Amino acid sequence: MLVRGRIGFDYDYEHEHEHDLGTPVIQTTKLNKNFDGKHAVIDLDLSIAAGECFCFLGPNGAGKTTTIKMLTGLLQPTSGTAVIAGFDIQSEPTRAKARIGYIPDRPYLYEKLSGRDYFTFIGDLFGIDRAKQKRLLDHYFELFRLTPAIDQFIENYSHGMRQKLVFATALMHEPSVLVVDEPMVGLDPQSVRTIKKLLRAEADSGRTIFLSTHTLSVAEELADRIGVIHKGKLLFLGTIDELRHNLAREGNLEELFLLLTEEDESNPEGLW
Amino acid sequence: MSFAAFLSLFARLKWRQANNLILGLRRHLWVHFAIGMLVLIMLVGGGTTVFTIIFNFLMKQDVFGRPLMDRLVRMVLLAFFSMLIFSNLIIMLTTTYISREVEFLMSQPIRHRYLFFAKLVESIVYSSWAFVILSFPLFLSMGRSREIYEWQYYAWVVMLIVPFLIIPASIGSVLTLVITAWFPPRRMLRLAIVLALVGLVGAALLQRFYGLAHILRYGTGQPSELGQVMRFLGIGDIPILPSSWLGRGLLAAEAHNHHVAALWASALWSTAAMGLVVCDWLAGPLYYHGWCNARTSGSARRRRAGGLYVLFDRILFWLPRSVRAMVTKDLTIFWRDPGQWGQLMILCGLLFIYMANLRSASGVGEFRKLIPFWQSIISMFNIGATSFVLSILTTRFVYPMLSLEGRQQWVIGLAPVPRTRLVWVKFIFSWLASLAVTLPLALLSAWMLKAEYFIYGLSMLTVLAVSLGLSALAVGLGASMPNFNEDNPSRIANGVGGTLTAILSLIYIGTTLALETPWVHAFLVPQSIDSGTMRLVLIASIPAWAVLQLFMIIVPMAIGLKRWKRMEF
Repeated sequence: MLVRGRIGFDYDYEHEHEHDLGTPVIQTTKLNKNFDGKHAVIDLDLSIAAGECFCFLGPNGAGKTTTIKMLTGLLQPTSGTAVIAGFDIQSEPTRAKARIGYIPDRPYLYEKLSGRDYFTFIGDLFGIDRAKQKRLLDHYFELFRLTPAIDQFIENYSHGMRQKLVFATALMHEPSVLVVDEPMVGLDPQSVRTIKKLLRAEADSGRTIFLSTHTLSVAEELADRIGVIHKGKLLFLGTIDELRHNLAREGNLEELFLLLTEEDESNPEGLW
Repeated sequence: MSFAAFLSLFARLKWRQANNLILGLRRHLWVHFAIGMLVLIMLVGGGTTVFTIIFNFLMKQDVFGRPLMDRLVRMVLLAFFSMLIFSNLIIMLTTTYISREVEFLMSQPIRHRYLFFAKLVESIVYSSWAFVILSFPLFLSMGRSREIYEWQYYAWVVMLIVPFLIIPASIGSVLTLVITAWFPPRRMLRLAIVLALVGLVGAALLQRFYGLAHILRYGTGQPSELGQVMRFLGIGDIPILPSSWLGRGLLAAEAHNHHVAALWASALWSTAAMGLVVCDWLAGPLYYHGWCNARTSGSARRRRAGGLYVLFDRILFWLPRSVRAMVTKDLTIFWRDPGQWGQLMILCGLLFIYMANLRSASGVGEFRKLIPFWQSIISMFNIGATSFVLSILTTRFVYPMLSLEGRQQWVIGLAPVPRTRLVWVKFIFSWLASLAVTLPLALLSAWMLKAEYFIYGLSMLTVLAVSLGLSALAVGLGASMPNFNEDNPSRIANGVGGTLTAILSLIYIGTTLALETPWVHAFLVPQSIDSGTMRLVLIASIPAWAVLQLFMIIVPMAIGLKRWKRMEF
C-alpha cells in the first residue's frame, strides 16, 4: 500500500511523501545521550515502520522525552543517528522536520496569539497555502470543538484546549511521522476518545505514530508494538503478546510493565 | 499561622530562591560578579561625580546657591516619590494579581491579608533598590559639598528614607486594591502606562515652558530670572508631600537641628504607619475580590477574527512566507503586550523631552556662530544621544527576543526552516526597526541644530553603522546567552546578558564617537590638519572606524549563530 501526503511548500523540497507500509520510517542506530556524564539514553536501536503505532513506555526519568527530543532534532545525540523518513535529523534537519508532527507533553505556546493566529503562523512556517489552511482550520477546530475559542488568546486556553490546538497544527502539514508525548494529560473524556480514534485512524492510513505515554490502557488499546525504556536502556521491544511470552505471565499491560521494570531494578547488570 | 510566622516563612522562601539562583550561576559566577560591580561602580561613582560637580558649583554662588540647591534636591525627591508610586503600582499589579505564584499561594491556608502584606513588602524591596542606588550618590555628594562628616547626619538619612519608601508603596497598594475591585488588572496596567506617559509628556512641557533652558539663554544675573528659577524649582516643595518632609528633615539634620529632624521623621513614620493600616483595612474585603476579578476578566472576550495578525501579515506581503510568519508573530505579540509597548511609549516620551530641549538648544542660537570647540561637542553629543537611544532600544527590546522564544522554541524548532534563520530574521528585523526610529531622529536633531551638511552626513553614517553593530551585538549576545526560564522581557534585559549588552553597547558607542571626533574637528577647524599629529590621527581613525564597525557586526553574529545552532531545548 502506498501512502501519500502532498504539502504545498515554498521551499526547495516540494515533493510528496511516499512510504510503503512496513518500510522503516523511524530508525535509530546506537543513539546515546549524556547530560554532564549522566547517561540518559544508551545505545538505542529502533526501527518503526510506516503505518505502525508504536508506544514508548517507561517510568519517570527513563529517557522517553530525551529520545523524543533527539528524534525531533531539539536535542543533539551524544552519538548515534536518528533517521526520519529517510533523512538524518542532524545532517538534513529541514527535510526531516518537514515530515514530523510533534505534540509535546507541556505545550508552551505563544500566549498573546489567538488560536486562529497560531494556526496561520504554523501553516505559514510549513508553507501551506492559505486556502488549504482555511479548510484545515475549519476541519480541525470543529473536530476538536475549539471553534468557539478560535479568536481568544491562547493565554485563556485550558491545558486540554492547548493540547488539542497543538494536535490540530501538528497534523496540518500531513506528516509521515506523528511524535506524541503524553497525549491524554488534561483532556476531557470526549477528547480522549477523539484523540484515540484519530491516532488509530492515522496509523491505519499509513502514518507512523510514535507515542510516549504513562497511560498504559491507551498503549494497550492502540499499540501495534511497544518499547519499554528504563534508566536509558531499552528493556523490551515487541508486541504485548511477545512481552507476555517473554515474561511467562498473563495479565494486562500494567502488571507486565511493573513486573518488567521491577525486575530490572533487581537485575542491574542488564541481563534482560 | 500568625502574620509574623508567615512573613518569616515567605522571606525564607524568597531567600532560598535567590540563593538557588546564585548557585545556578556558579559556572559564570565571577563574570556575573564583575559585571554587577562594574554597573554599581558606574552608577554610584558616576552619580556622585555629577552631583558633586553640580552641588559644588551651586555652593559657590553666594546669594542664591544654597536655596537653589535645597529646592533642586526637593525637586529630585519629588521625582523619586512619583516614580516610586508608579513602580509600586506596576509591581503590585503584576506580582499580587497576575503572577502564577499567587495562584499557588491562594490555594494554601493563608489569610488573604497576610499574603497581600507579604507581597507589599516584596514590592517595597523590588521598587526601592533602584532608589537606594540612585539616591546614595545624591546624599553622599550633598553631604560632601556641605562638608558634613558627622555620622549623625547619615543616621538621620536612614531614619528618614525608610518611611519615605513605605509611603509610596502603601499609596500604590491602596490604589491597586481600590481600582482592581472594579477594573480588571490587565486593563489597569495599560491605564497606568498611559498615565505614566501623559505624566512624562506633561513634565516635558512644563520643563519646556518654565525650564532652566529659558534662564540659561538669557543669563542668570537678573533678579526676575532668578525668581523664575526659584518658582520653577519650588514645584518640588509642596508642603503636604512626604518628599518635601524628607527634604526638610535632611536640611534640619544637616544643621544639627535634631528636634526638627525628629519632627519630620515622626511625620514620615506616622504617615507610613497610617498607610499600612489603611492597606490592612482594605486588603481584607478587597484583595480577594480583585484577584478573582483578574482571573475572570481581561482578554478572554471573543476578538475580531484575525485583527492585528492579519494586518501585519498584509503589510509584510513582500517577505518570503516563513520569514513573514516569524516577523508577523513577533509584531503581533509585541503590540498585544502592554509591558512591551509601554516601555516603548516611555522611551518615546524621553525622546520627546530630548527633542524639546534640543529646540531650546538651537534657540541658544546660531549654532554656527558658536566656537568650533562647542560646535564639535554639541554635534558629537547629538550623535551620541541618538546612538544612546538606539542602544536602549536594542538592549530593552532586541536582546530579549531570542530568550522569549524559549519555551516555545519547539514550535519554530520543529518547522522545516534552518535553525539559524530565526536569528537572521531577528537581526534584520531589529536593524530595520531601530533604523526606522533613529534615522528620522538623527535627521531631525541635525535639522534643529541647523547643522552643516557634513554633520547631517556624519549623523546618517553613524546611525546606519551603529544600528547594524548594536543590532548584531544584541542579537548575537541574545543567541549566546539566552534566558529561557524567564518570560518577562524587562527581567531578561535586566539580567546578566542584558547588562553585558548595555555595557558593551556603551563602550562601542563611545569608541565610535571617539574615532569620529577627529573628523568633526578637521571639518570645523580645517587648519588643524596642517599639524602632523592631527593628520596622523585623522588618517588612522578612518580604517580603525571601519574595522570596529565590521568587527561589531561579524563577531557577535558569528558567535551567536554558532551557539544557537548547537543550542539544545
